[in-house]
Amino acid sequence: MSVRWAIRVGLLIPAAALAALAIPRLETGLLLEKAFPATAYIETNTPLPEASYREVAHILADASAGDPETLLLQAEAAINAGASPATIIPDVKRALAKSPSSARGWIILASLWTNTDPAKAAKALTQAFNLAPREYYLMLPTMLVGAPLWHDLPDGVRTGLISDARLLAEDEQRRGQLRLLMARPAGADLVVRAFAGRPEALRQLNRDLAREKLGL
Amino acid sequence: MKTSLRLSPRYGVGEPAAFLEQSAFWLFVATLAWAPFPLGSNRPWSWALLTLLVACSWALWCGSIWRKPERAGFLLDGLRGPAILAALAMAWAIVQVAPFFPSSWLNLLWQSTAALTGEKVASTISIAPWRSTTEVMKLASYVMAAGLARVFARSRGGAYRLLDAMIVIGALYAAYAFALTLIGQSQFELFYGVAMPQTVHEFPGPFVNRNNFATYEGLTAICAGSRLVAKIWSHIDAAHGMRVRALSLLHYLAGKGAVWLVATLLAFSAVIMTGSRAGNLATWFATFALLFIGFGLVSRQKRKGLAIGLIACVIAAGLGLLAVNGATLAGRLDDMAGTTDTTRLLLWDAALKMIQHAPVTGWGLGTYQLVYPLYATASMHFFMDKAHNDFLEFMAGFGLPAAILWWGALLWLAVLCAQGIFIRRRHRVLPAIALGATILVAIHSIFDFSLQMPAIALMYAAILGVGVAQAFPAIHPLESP
Repeated sequence: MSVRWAIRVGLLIPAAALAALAIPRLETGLLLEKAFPATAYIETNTPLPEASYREVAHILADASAGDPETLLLQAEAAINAGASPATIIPDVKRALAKSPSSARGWIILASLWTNTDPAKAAKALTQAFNLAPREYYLMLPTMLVGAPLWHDLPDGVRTGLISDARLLAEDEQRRGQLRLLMARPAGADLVVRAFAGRPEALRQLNRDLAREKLGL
Repeated sequence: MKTSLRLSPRYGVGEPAAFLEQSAFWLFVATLAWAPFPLGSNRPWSWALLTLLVACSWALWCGSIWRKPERAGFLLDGLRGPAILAALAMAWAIVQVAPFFPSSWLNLLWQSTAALTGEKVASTISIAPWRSTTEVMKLASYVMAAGLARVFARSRGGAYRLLDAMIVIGALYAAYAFALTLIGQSQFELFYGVAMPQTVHEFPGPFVNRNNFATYEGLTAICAGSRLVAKIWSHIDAAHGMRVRALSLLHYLAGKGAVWLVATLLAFSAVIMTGSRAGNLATWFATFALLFIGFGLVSRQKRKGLAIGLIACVIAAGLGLLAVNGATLAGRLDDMAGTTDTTRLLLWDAALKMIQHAPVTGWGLGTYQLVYPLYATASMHFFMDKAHNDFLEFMAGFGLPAAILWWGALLWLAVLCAQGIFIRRRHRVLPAIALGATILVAIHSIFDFSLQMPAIALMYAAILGVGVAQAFPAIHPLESP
């Protein structure tokens, strides 16, 4: 009798375990589906209206607490929607504690610490840079967050930022991103540093930007 | 197809058991039919749903044997070896996400994270335990699917019923792909309302990527083509004289065999239409491997002439399909000669470095996308989420010992199927299909990531389950017609 029950339970346990794993993933997956394609735009640094960020943050607020990557996506949307850093920092820290290899997550944390603790922000950004020094879709966020932290960053990260800024400035397809960088605190300084020793190239860039702005 | 309701030897007693077993079977077939539709089930919600459906089907089958659960013992008959290997590999997958290792044993990232955030960290071998747990869930669901297929295919009738269902499903998706191309739509656009005109002409069917659809239809082609050739052989072998054989063949193809003929033509056409180079290589290689094995078998029976004639017809049909549908494939083969695309080499190089730095423990299943940036040597304008080589990616995530255990289990099952081709006197087409499917997915895995598409992995698991179930000589009296 007990052998039969052991077999019954033994056969059902895998199905129960799979269901226990699948249900929260199904719920979070449906929320991600609802938020798509805004989530893809966020991950590729495509600017969205504030209302879109608010909607994504609202939808993903019900995602499973066990899914750190969705939590980070929700946090980024909330930041862009204007949420207070103090309310988001604990969630970002908890998410990174479960998925420490998320370079984007470290950039988000760095951006949240920039005004209150620049030294810690610089460490977080350094972590992100070490995890993904050549990740295409992280170059712009790294520069945007790194520019105001310049004086707290180690040499290796500074060298990387200068190199990325130069690449950005020389890519005419990414002029919108360059303007975004230059509009941010210390962003223009970073671009100037990228052209150190090449004043004529910097002047040419200025002329090009002015012409584009005037539609010439 | 026979319409008997009996799928397999009855384990339970009475109508409820039979009803539950029927329900489990049809839910499984419905799951196989649904799986490709939501973009190959390669989204978090759809692979989770697939897992739930497989688990429900399994639970229904458990219900059918509730009164006599000891009947489930047959599941491991002849399979203890591969079952042990797979169980050890799965045990390691669970160890990778278990949070009981001290931080000092693990990747330094955990320690630095704890120091920076002040939070209690997960401290697992996998650097992304949620992702790895998801991959374990998927792998377990495929094992469960293979087990279910073995259950349903324990009788010859049940085996053919499940196989025929997969053939019909695959053929319908091939027709669906043609329909989508005719109306200029892609499945992605149907789901999200975002136009992707460049993919419409790539013939991806219900998938996003044409290479994945090529693998899916390649599996269908192997199933349908083998079924067709086996049936044709049984008809022409029984007849005497060229004229009678030809008439018998035509009579079959115009009658009962029409379904298999249409399915075969649709599936092979779909593979060619995708223009997938690796998909075509894998499919045609597997096809010719099976033809070669079949030729070897009939040579022993002194039917060489007939076999050569049949193979010639198959080759002629294949060339005809290539001539009609092969423009895209020809173009892509021409492109291959002129391109210097090194993206795959970069991905493979990164995977090799990952293996080098964590050869025993691995980085955690499903973590390639997160680890790749550490080893990237160039900035690429894509999300590099797959290594485009399932072998390398699996080793990088799982670690070498566990990967070898898992592949050892699959290889063992494939060898059992190969043995079955030679041991069985009848219905050897079933283990042959499983062997052909294994060859196909193994070759395609060198260049791409089709087995990471849940719809394809599920179909392969089902085919393998059917093949293994029928790889052993029939010993149960209830298995006879």
